[in-house]
Amino acid sequence: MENSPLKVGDASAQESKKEEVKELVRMNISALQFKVLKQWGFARASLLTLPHGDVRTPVYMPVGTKGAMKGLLPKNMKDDIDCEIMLANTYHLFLKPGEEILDREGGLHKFAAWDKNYLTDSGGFQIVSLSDLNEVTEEGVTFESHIDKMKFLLTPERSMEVQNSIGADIMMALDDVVPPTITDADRLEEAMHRSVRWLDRCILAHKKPEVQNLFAIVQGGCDDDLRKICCDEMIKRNTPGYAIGGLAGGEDKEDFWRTVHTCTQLLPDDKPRYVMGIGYPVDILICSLLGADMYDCVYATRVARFGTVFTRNGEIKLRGSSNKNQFIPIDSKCQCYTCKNYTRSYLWQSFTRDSSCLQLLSLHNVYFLLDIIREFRQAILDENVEEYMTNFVTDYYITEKDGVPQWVKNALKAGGIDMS
Amino acid sequence: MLFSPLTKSKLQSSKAFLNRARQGLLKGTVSTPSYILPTNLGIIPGIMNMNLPEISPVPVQFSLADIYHLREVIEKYQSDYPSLSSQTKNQNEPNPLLSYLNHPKDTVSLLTMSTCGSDKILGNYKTMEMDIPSTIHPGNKNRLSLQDFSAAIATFKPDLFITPTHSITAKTSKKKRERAVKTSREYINPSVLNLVQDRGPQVLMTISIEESYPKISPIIDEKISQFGEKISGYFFNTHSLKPQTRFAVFQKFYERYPTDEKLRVLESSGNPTEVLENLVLNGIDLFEARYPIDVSEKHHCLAFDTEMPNEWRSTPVDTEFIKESLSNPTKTPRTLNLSRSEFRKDSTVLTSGSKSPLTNSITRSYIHHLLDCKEMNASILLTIHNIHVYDNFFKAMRSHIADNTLEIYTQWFLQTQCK
Repeated sequence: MENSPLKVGDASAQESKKEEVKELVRMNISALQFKVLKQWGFARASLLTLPHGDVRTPVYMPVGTKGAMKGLLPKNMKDDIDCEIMLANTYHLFLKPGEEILDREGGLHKFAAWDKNYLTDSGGFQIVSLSDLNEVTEEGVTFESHIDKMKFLLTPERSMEVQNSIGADIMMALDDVVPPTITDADRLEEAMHRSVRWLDRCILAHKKPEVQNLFAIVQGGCDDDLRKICCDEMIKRNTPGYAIGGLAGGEDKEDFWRTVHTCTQLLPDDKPRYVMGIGYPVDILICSLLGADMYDCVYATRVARFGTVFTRNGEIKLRGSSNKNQFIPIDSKCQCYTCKNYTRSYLWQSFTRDSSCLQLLSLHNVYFLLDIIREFRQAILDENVEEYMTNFVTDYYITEKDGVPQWVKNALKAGGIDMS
Repeated sequence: MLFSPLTKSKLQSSKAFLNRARQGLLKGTVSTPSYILPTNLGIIPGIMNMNLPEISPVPVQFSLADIYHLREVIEKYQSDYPSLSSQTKNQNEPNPLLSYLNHPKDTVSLLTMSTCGSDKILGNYKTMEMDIPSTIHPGNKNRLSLQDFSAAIATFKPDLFITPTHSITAKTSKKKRERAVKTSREYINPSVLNLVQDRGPQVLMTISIEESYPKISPIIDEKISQFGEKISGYFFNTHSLKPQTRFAVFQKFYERYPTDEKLRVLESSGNPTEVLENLVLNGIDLFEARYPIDVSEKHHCLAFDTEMPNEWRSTPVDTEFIKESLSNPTKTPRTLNLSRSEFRKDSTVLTSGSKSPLTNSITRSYIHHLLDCKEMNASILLTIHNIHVYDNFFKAMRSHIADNTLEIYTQWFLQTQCK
């Protein structure tokens, strides 16, 4: 990413840019509609209308890193899983195939033959997690490509340019990503403030607000005060939606749900709230109970490729020999293609013999997450969230020695469900 | 009858050129000529069954080495079956193997001794034991006896099974050839043929190179005359011969058995020119076909059309050209190597030939990108596309046999779709 940065040092220029941002905020250009259909406590059943169709929220967004879900084709995603939105990674798409190809092909939707919605992240997280060398300055992030070690500078402006080329329905602002377990409080605060400043630059650089929605990302680690400051500042920017970033990085579960809860209480009710990097079944439901609407994670497909699958009684490892003569589906209630047509025994047999098994397991895991989140959504509409959540977590942890973990009970209580 | 020829092929003629192609019906569901793809546990490598619903019904090939280890679990599955019947789509005593592997009950299943890949079954003719290399733990062999072979047939109940033989080619030594013949003779005997049932396993007798080249040996006479009615067809193990030699083999076979209308299955790669050669010149009904898979593994997509333009129907048939081209093939069907950099910016839709809803909006540029990123969806999409094109190719040939225009179709294909 050759850089075309703004000159950040000039005070009068900065003031001028702030006015431009304010003007854009006042114009309130948005390419989405978000309608809360029903609410139960903090949880909402909503309809998010994007340029490529409706999305029922809460929703889990599967991750198609390089423009494709591993082992699952667009038709599988659309017809067999009923997926309405999925993620693509800006960092990877920038490296391959590159902006030139994406512009030429008319954007990722056409390139990948996916006619439903896409969300792209900014590229910042992959740089931190994949690149051997990365250096953050006010200008941007300098990094080495993990493919060929070429050096690049990712600025907010370049991130917007690349994401405009990709053409996703939702794009994310470039944020200064630090792990939530960081002990350097100054660095954590610096990252939060910088994320706000970078959001302004993203707003200015974003060329297609009428067809692509820019979401702000709230940072601040697990520090409630920092989160409040960040939420306040980002709400002033009036973006079409907000993400809660900087979690799912090894923090304590109590800090995790509490931070989500803090943010959802502060963020506007009439806009979607996206918790980034969340992919465990219980975590998704807990966050939904606390008022979040959107989630993404590679966990479902990554563990599927190692033979771990979701069931309503927790995860199971299909490679275990106990599955050899199990002539039952992965999950008895699951209606995915895999569970309707194959037994655990067959999947155990074929796991080491053919890659189609990995596809079947990926399909199941993604379907499972979408299925439970839709059940939760229906529970909101039917006003039986308490019964649904109580039954789900009880069943999910039924094989655990200590039953439902305390953090889950605490989070449920904050959401209005008392399991004590 | 498991196999019914719908047209009688002309096996002998005084003319210089003879089109021996015919139509048939296998198990009432599979129209021939047709093809058999290699499988892993009954699955086309890397492809979920749900992604190939538009393919015409084709037989499923199971290699014994691939599924032998399933015997124990299939027997247990079968014993549990009454309680599982509500979970299957099948009715009226479905085949336990097909049910376990999620194949429709009307699937034609063919059990072979070859493996999906380059491994071949070796044998010890003195003990009649077949060494099957383990596909999971190479070097760890499972020895199978004739009894094991028979027990596997009884458990899996394939529609068709091929009598085993050694893998030999035109270059195999004389000693190994003789050993192969002896093994082949041992494995078509009453104990094996007792496995043949009216509505159950049927046997395809292997005609190996040694028994058929340079002349039809008396062993074939002996086997056919002794077991004739129990044999449902033949598996011609003649892949490694040159086309002219292969033609001579079939010529002699048909001279010996001019009224034999049994099913004819060919060991082959499935390359379209080879298919046309053996369909037109040699009267084959079923083709082993790794071709669409092999092409995908090399990052190629099939790029030939399968529908002949109407104006070609009035073109005079050049039988000399057809015979010469099929007997001495110098061209191969058109493919494109999508990993080449020239396709990086190629927005052309994969090809229009496949008509698969899964691939008909995918561009060459996108496949190139997936190959460049080593994403598994590249091979999935290429394989699906290639199988669709291949299936259309066979549909076209069947249609032209019915219309009596196969010769001009062959001419058109060789002249315009090969390079």
